[in-house]
Amino acid sequence: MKILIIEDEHMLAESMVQYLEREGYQCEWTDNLAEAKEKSWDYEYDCLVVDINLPDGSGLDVIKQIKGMRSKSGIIIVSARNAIDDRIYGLDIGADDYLTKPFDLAELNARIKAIIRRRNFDAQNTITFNEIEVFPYEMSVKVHNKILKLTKKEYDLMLYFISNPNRVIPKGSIAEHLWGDEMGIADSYDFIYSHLKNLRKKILEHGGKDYIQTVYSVGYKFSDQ
Amino acid sequence: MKLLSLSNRYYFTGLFIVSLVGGLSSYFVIRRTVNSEFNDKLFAAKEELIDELYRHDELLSSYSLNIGDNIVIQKVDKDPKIQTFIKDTVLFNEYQNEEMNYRQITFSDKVRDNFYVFSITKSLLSTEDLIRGVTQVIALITALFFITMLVLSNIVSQRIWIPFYNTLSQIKDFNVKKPKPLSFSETNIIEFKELNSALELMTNQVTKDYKNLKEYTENTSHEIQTPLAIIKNKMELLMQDKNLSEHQISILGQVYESTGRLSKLKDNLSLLSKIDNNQFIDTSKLIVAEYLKKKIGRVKELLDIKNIEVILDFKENPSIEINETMAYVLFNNLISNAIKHNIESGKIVMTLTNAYFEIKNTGEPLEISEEELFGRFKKSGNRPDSSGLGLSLVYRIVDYYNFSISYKNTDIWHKITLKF
Repeated sequence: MKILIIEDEHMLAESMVQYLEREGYQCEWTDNLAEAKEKSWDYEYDCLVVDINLPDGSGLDVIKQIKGMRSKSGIIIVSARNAIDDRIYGLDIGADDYLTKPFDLAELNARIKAIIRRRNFDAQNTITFNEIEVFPYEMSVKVHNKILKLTKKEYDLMLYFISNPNRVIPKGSIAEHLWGDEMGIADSYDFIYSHLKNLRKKILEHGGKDYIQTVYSVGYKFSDQ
Repeated sequence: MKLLSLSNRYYFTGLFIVSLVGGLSSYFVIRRTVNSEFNDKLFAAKEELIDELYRHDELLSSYSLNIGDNIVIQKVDKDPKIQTFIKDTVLFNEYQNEEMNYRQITFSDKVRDNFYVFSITKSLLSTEDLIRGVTQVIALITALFFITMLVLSNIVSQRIWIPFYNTLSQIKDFNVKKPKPLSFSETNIIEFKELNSALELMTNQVTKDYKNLKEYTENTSHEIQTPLAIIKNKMELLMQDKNLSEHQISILGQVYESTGRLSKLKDNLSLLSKIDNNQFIDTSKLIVAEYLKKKIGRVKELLDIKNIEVILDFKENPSIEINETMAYVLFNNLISNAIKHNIESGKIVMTLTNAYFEIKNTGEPLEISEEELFGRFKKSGNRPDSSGLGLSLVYRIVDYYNFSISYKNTDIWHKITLKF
């Protein structure tokens, strides 16, 4: 799996590369439009992470070029601008997703995975973690081949965890993933805890192990280590 | 009041006074001239009469001298010593069959040892006709003058003010958010030329300033978001380090949380500045009851966690014209406020009529004054999850749409009323 990161902010790009490489992706990085155009012309990437504001032009140009080439690469825009117009325009010209800075690396990772899954459409495509299997197309989860009855939020939580295994995921990141903007409403992370409690209970009931570890005062970690 | 009617008012007042004074003075001048002419004629008649009396005997018995004048000669015994005097009098005219104005000169003289009192009476009819004629002419001229002024000033204002009204309509249509180049019509009038060039300069400056301000807001948000993103992501990477102690991880968690708060704060500030810059001008019709029900559905989990009961009392079904983002911020803040500051197993009561929306929640007493509630960065207690900007955003939106909002605290109930 090859990913091209087009981001002029070196430190930000470095973090993305570091996080994604640990997920087993092969990452390439460029900080300018010219090189980005050249690279995406020469190679076929599975996914491109595109920043719109680049020193020598707009990242949207790369998207137009890729779409012109009828490439199957997935595209995710990361922008500091939370302008609705930008978002609509970006998605209009063919981007698959849009993330506003600052975003969580876990979120970026989950979205890239989702895009790649959609690109390489395969009904048998599952995400497996030991005895737990997630079927993204059916939005279902199996433990020891038995289907779990999950609510929408519990499923989202499960998918988010299994997309970011062996990682410390801050509570804020989970809340934002599950509730987006509504998160501003919450006065505590109690509700994450209650969903988590139910999910954990259902997995245990079906003979699964409890992989959801609590990282004190920070968040959670889905891990078998 | 239109400029034309105002200037006409002054012109016509001036004209009226001038015509009045002019008319009256010409009346008096003419009258005086005619009177003195008349008196001269009477004196001349007197001289002529005396002269005739001295020269001819027979005339004494003749009572008339000129046609139209009436002469009365009265013989008296002794000298009546009458000084010559002139007076106006009214007599009955047999020909006209009505009373008419006459002027009479009376004097006495001694003719061949006899004393006589004479009086000569002249009809004033011709004088009156003259004065009436003159008055009519003056009135006619004045009326013509008025009409000409009225017609002229209307035509002039229509012609001369064309460039002005053109400029005015362009300025009325001017919108700093969607600036289009102004094209003022050519004019030779210096004042309008100056007005147009001043307006052009001003609108250009305003457009430029607005663009700069917008760019500044956008740039600031861009510049802040990037370092924030770096901090957040670096922290996420650091958290994965297996060699960190529990204490170190907990510090990382706190820093991470603060970054999130900073990011939210920046979002809200940028939203406030966008409202201040009138960047949310597109509106659509919003059916409030439907919108509220949807909103409540989305926060159901939060309500359940605190075991809060929501009571809806929708009496009517109003709809308002509002921008979508603004509606979201407005109702989101009001509802989240009612949840955030609520107590365990508390209540939220929402009342909706065509005139107002009222949201009332149970909660702890407020630590800040009721007046301060809508100010920026005002919050009750030190709540880390509250930016203190929510209600000031609400206030800004309410103000923008000319709604009104008030807050009342009685016992455990906090009530916010939003009047449409």
